[in-house]
Amino acid sequence: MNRRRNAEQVRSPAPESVETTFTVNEVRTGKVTPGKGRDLWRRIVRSRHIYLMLLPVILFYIIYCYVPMYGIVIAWKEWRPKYGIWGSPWVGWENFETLFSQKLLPRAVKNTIIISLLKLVICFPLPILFALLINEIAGRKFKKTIQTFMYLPNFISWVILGGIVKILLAMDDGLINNIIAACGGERVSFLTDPNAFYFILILSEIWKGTGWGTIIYTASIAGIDPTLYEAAKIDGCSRGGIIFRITFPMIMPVCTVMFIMQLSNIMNAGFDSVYNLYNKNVYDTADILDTYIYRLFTESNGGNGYALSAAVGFFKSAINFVFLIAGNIITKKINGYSMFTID
Amino acid sequence: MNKAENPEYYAKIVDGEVKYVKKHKNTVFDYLLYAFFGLFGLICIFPVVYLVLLSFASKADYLQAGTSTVIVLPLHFNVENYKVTLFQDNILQAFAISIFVTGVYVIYSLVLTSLGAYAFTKKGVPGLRVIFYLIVFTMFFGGGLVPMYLTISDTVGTDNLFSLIIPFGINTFNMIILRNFFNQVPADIIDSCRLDGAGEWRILFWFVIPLSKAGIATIALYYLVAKWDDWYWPSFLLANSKELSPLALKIREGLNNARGEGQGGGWDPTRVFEQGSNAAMMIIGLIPIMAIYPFLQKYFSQGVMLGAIKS
Repeated sequence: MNRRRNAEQVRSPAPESVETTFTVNEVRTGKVTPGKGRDLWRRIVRSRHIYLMLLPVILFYIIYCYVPMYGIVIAWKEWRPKYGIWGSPWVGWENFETLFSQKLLPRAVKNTIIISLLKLVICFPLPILFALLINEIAGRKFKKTIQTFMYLPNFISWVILGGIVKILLAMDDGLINNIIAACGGERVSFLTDPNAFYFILILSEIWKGTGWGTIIYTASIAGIDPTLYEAAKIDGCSRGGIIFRITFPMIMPVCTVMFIMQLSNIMNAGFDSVYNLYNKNVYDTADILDTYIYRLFTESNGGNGYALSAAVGFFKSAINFVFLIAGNIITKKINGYSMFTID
Repeated sequence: MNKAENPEYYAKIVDGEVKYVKKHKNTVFDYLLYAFFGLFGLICIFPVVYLVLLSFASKADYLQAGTSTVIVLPLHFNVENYKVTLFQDNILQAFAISIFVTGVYVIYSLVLTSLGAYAFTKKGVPGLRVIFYLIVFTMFFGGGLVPMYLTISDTVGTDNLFSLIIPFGINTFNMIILRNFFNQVPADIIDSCRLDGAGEWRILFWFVIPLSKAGIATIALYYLVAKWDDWYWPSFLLANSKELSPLALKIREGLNNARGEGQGGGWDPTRVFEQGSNAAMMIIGLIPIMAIYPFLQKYFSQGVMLGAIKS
């Protein structure tokens, strides 16, 4: 296809007046020498519509991504609403010292890591397993119907899911407790038990995310060359053999990328899920960095909570960034390409 | 018995030779699969079904649960719970606000995202790569909650609906996905448009976007669901104007605060119960998503998602 396009361009050289940007082919065939004096200027002029398109996009990123990035300096200031970010006085590392002297920050770090690891160990492999199994279902109609049902929970927000969990698990009138009571058992207070919180959270995550999570693996299973299966069948490979020697190895690269992405997200234990499922009684096991940041901010009432909240936010971003860089280096080593490139 | 005559085998020609392959027959494993996924499918939809049951039940049904019936069943079917949530919680206004915010937001963000996504499919534009990397950087490092809040209140101000829309125009991840879709539009089409004298703007809005319908639908779905479910930003940005609360925030607050005893609004207090009115409120919140779900389902098909994998 490249060769064909080359030939076409030789036959009908684009006239000067036609607005065009340059393709790699044009550069390669020597029509354009990139980055040299007059040519560079010509390329800039020719791309003026592209720059015009990018203008609102760039403005958006400057105002709502880069300006807030500078606003992070309030982590090193004492917040005074009257003076704003710029006028508030510098206090050095005082905010960080205050935070680290309290027990709340270490607790939040501990809970964040525990919840992230639980998700990594339990919620990450399940969609892979489900995708492998659902691929084995022979009945087309059954498969389609189940997939429709499986994808549905993903579209139910955590707010509503939080409400559902309450309806199912409440002590006095929850469905599970009604069943326990009907069987003659003692009602259990699931929602106020700090140890039960992990179970509730992970089960909710499984319910909401597993079905939707299979999509990416199902798609890559569908992309496997069918001749591999036919060859294996003819050679008398068993069904289990096909799953473990063909399907699974073939989707392994996708699994690694997903695993590393998840791993580099370790400081994000999921604000929405935790915030909608926890309550004051279970803060000991449930309070994560994001919920701590949120409460510092909303409960500050114009006090120094703004600065403290920003300090925790910075602490989290910094750790996250290190994990991400490490993750990207590992992906590059394994797959030969990094997670985010332009080509 | 000869394989050729055995009905359990079928013939297949491989490299000019006839080979016999065993036909698929349901085994114990298959039945286990059906049972397992059947059960899982039921678990996936049960909570929603139960919400519907609750919302139409009456207080008598609710009090029976745990004694004569195990789960709450709407034996005394009524819509009083809906009346409470519609009239006392003023859910309709919140619903309208959510529709407005989500609608405007989806259009605004689709336009902005398309512009960016199209520009980044171009090659040979000086500086494009640097801009792209600067944008990708923002995916991983941001100012965080407090600086963002202060920036928003300095630019569009708080306590107005546009503060929920304007600052959230582009999700970088969505832009990269859309860019992959735009990349799949054949270069020949774009080249011939250009030879016919179409400018970049016309190419984008008349050719590239209509040719990437699946991509646009996918991104629109992501933006729509994200905005419809958003209660986080409204909880700060509309902190002093509760009357502007969108539905998600209203539901969150409704679920966490007990209702006062009925202020007499045309419903029957002997039939209403807290759990039922909450369920009715949640069902109203789920209606739009359930309404579009069947239409969007065809876009979940594998080809569409491949666009996401490549990023």
